[in-house]
Amino acid sequence: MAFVFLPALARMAVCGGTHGNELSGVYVVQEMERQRKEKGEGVWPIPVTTVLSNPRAVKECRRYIDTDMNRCFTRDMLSCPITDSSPYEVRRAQELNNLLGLKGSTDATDMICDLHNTTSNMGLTLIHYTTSDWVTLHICKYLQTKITKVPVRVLVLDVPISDSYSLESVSKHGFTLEVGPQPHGVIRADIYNIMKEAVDLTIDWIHKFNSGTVFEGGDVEAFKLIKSVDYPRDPETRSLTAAIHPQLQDKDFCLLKHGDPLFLSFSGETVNYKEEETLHPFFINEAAYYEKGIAFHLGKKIMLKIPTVRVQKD
Amino acid sequence: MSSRTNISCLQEAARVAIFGGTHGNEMSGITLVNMWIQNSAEIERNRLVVKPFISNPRAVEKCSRYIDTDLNRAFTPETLSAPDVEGLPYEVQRAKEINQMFGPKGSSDAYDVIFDLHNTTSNMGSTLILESSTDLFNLQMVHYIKKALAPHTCSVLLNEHPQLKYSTTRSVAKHPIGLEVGPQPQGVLRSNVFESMRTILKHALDFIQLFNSGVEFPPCTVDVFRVQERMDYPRDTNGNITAMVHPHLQDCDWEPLNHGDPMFLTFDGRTVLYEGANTVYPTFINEAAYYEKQQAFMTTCREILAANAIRKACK
Repeated sequence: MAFVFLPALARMAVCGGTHGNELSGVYVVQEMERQRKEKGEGVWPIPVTTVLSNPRAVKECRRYIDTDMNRCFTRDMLSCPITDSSPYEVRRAQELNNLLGLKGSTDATDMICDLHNTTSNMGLTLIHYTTSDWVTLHICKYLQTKITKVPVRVLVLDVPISDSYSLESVSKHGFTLEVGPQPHGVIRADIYNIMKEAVDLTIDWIHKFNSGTVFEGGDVEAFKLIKSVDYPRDPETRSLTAAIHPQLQDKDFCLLKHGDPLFLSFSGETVNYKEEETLHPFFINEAAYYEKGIAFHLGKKIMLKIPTVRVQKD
Repeated sequence: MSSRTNISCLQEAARVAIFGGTHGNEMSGITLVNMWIQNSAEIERNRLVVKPFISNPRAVEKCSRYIDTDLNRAFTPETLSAPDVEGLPYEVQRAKEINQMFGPKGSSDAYDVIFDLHNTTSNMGSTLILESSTDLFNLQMVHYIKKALAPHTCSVLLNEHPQLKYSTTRSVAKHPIGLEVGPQPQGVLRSNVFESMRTILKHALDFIQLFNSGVEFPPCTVDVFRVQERMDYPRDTNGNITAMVHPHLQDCDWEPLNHGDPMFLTFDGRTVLYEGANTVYPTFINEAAYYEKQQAFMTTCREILAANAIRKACK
């Protein structure tokens, strides 16, 4: 088994409210800040910065004010000049890059956990850009073994870091914790508890790693994003003519085979999956994706091999 | 012949409207109404005008609950008689327009029946909402619908509470009925929820057609849940919530809540218990739109309402 030494993770950030109506993250961050006030800076075994990413959107309980902040972290958008007419989120993204970055530099925070909710039935899904970040993948493996109340899955976007656009790409290692299903604007206790547990376990892993624990390598099952599918729409008005089929609704990460139902039209016809390749759907019927023209994403199941890791002693 | 003397003769229900998009992010009603505006075949019935109508088009366009203020609270006498001045909130202007088109509220010119289509993030299943315990037409219609839907269940919520009752969009009509189907997140269209709402309306229109054709409906009883109280989240001095609906209560709409049962869970893990003396039946548990209205859930009590036989009045 391959054995890799990696530097310790000195600083971690937990970000909630990147989308202002995804409430688990908002309240996890709030609760962590309350704990810090009550118990002092030593409340966690490693230094943790807590951030409310999009405070104006949180105040109005909306996904965003001007534009989706979780698409504002490209190199271009982080370096574009800010004027009076700049969208709020572009401005805020640059503030966050100054606080937690700079993205791509050696000063960047070691780990950002960005907390999100989805209306899709995705349990706990850990989303990351690449297949070669051993720290992030080890944390995913750790969460998969420790959390048993809901399925824990790993989703890799397979996008080079140079093209990354979301908040967690500001740090050296980062991932999104996506928990669902939860309606936007609602806080469910069961979903909050899963999110809180995942954050606590991430802090726990980093502390153990930094203290010299050896984490055995092995196989990590993951899903790689391949493409997206839109709803059937009226060609003129672009309004929906079908909804996600009842047999697909809530079946995130199931096996989708040729001939399986995808949509049920309002006039009663079933639209079936016509491709030959068996893929796995996820983000099925996410509220925020109607405006992005996405009914669901499709992914391929892959097996990633990760080496045994241990902290590099100076 | 005593049964003959207890038949209520009621006016024909000639003008019916179906409102979708009273809240612009409750997708089942919006989708159904838009579909029926394009092609009304499914909602056509003999001797009946059924008008599908989008109540709050600007909110629908934005996919938000409202633009300035909640349309479904805007039909008070004060709002409806507000003078036409510049700067009126959008929904106030809209309420006045709706009152002119489908009312005036309280007059003999008002539409006979308005169905107002809503979704909720609460696990309420199919629910019909009544505003009066003595509207025989509505009671008989609800009884018919429930029987037609069986074995699928349909709950009936009665909001006749003097303080908690609110001035709904549908209250412009002589016989207002709210259709509330959940759970469905705002901005999402779930196929099963959509089809449930569609089926309820099919049965409702069948009832009206039968009634208008002279069919007599015998006396009946309707099991209802009568609104008692609004329960808010525990909050701090800044008005922020300090706890969530407890996992044991979450999704348990219509199930008994007894003294000592868990009600809320604080963010740091403490349970808050229900302290009420009597068993209540909670509903609208964890509805997204009610955080700003200071409501975590509503309590109700069970009641059986009786309705006389009804028949269309002869001219």
